[in-house]
Amino acid sequence: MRLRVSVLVLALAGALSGPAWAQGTATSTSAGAADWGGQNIRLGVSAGLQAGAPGFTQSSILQIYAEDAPITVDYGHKSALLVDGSLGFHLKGRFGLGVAVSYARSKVDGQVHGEIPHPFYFNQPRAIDGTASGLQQTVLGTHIQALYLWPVNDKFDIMFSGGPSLIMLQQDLVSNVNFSETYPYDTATYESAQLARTRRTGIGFNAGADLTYHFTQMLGLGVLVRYTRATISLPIAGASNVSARAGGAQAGVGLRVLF
Amino acid sequence: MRLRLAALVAGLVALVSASTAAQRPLSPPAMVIASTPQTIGAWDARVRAMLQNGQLDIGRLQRDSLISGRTHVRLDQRYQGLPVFGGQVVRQQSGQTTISVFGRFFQNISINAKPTLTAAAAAHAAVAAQGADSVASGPPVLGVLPGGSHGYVLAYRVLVRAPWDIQIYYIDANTGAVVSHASRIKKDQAAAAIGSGTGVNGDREKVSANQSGGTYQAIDVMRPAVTFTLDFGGNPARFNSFFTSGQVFLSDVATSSSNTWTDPVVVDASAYQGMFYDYVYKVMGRSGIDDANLQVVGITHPLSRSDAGTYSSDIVGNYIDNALYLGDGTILYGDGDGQTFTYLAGALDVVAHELTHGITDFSSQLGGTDEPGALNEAFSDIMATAIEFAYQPPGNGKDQADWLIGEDVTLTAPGFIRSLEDPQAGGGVDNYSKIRDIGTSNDNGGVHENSTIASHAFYLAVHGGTNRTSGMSVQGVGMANLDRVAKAFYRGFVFMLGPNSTFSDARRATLQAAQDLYGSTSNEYAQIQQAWTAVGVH
Ligand SMILES: [Zn+2]
Repeated sequence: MRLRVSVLVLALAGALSGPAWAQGTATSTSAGAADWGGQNIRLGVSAGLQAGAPGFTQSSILQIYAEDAPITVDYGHKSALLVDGSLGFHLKGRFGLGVAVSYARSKVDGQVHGEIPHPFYFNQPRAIDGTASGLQQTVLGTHIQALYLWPVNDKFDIMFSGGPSLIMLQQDLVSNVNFSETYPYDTATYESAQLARTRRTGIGFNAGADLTYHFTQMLGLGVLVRYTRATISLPIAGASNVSARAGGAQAGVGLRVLF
Repeated sequence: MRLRLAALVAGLVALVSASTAAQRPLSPPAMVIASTPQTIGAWDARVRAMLQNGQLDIGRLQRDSLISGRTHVRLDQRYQGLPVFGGQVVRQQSGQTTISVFGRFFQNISINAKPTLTAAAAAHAAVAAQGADSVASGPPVLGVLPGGSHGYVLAYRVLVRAPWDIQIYYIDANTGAVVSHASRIKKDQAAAAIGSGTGVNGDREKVSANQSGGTYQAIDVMRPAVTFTLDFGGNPARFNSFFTSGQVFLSDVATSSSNTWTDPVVVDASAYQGMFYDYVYKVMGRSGIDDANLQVVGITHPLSRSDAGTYSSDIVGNYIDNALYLGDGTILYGDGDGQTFTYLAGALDVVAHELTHGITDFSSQLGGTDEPGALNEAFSDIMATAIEFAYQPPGNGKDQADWLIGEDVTLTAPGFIRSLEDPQAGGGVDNYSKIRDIGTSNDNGGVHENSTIASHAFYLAVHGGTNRTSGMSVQGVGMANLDRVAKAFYRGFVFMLGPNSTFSDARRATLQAAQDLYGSTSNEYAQIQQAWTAVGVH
């Protein structure tokens, strides 16, 4: 499944354009105090999906048979299951400060292409192609957020958020390839990939909105959409670096508790 | 000090005596015989007498393939018709003249030559002793083995092939017990590791090695025929003991600590032996020298170039300025004296030429003299040239493909050994009407000088050109079709010729092969036919 920010925003707009939106407009004044409706703390727990960040490419030079063996891996992207927790503090007026932690894990495929040197002769590479499956990708984002609450009506409000993110990416990268060959070795066949799990943290950003429907004064149901991204340089043998983009569009639904 | 043959032989005597005493205290004394030109008469007479009474039998005749006129005849010791293992005398001849005799034979043999054990039972016992995944190779050979408490044992020699190892077992022919066994070349475990190095002429080559612990051995285990490149280090004692026993050991294998090979001779020998195997396999569909993946043993530095000045001209000519096929997949690459030749393993065509003699040995068995001998040499040059064009870019420089033989290692004029394009330029014969030295001891009946009649026909059929003697021109099939003509020659020489074939037979055989492969109306057939006609072979 591929989720995009635009789709998420449309979905959010659709929710707002329903009766609740009309009702909210009519009653905005009564709920529209320049504060957080009397509560100073808002806790949220959501589960949902994180759309994969755009894929990235790894270009490595391995040493095989006394010669350079260029290997490229195109890592795909895939939606990940998302768990998100957030904590917001009211500062003043509609503004607040928050922190959110999101955790997403998925398994992606890597399309491997290699030029495997001939064992006996220089400059006679044999092309191999294949798929490295089940490459685990884990993204742990810690998002520092400036918050702005827009009370739509007495049942709905929207919390806008944005700020810097610290994103830890743990990614399985292809560190070597296994191939089969038989004499006279004029061709080689991709068999599997050897993986190395690498982890690096990078700084990025987040921007999002959380639409909350209030059952009671203290309890609500929230729909979160957020976009977060960081570019992270992953170390891998045989490559100067692998520049990966971590994060992506996030969407989740969950409980909101207000104090 | 000027080291001569006599000194070498003296060293050999001492070496063999010492090892005999140390290893076989119970065996009877092995008598070492050796000869210098001064004492040749007596030994020659003795050998002739032993040949007559059946104590010696002619085993194998080996040519000095690049030096004219010399042969080495191995005479195997016999007891009541059975071989005496290890008993062998080697007689070097120049034509009918004996130049030297050396080797050893065993005396005072007195045992019952009738076994109670069958050959099959002996093979079974050897395989059982070697263990899983091993298999007896070839029929067990019954013979007399020096050693044991009674001095000699009637034993079967059984070759057992095990993964990455070939063991020779001696099984007591009466009890079935293992008397002894040893690896022809023992290896711990095959772990292919490709290294690289720079060859004699500065060429970068890969070296297919075997990793054993922290050491890389020049053993190619990635090709179906395991190929060993040895380094005798120019040690005359090692060389002599090899010539006497025919044995090679793991300790002889060239090694590298890093798999970056620094001896250009080992680099080229290893790489070129591999190219020969690859070409023969991929183009001719043949699995090595014997078409059954016989292992190849290439020996580098048999004697040191730096000692060339201390040896007789015979020794320099045979073992320094020469490369030889010794039989059974074993090749010896001389160092070259640095004046006439440089390291002979540095030439792909020289390596391929010698290895092709192995193919001939296992197929047509073309003789070593006169017309069959010339065809034998021609086939080696034809294959050598085809392989050069397959693995080197065409050109006149070092390590480039051309129609010359030995041009990469020849230091004196004309800068090559033979020319397939212009045989006369290398002192060869280009037309059958000029065939010479047949029936003489000169160049064993002109085997090298007349070989170019056939190899020039190959050149004309492929490249096209004009025969200088007949003036006849041949268009040729073109260089792009070289392998197609090479296949016809290979097919004719390997499958259709025999030990006594003549040039005329070779014409018929290659045409038959071309007809079978491409049809009698094919261009290949026509060009081969015209080429033989142009060189005067009908
Ligand atoms: Zn030869």
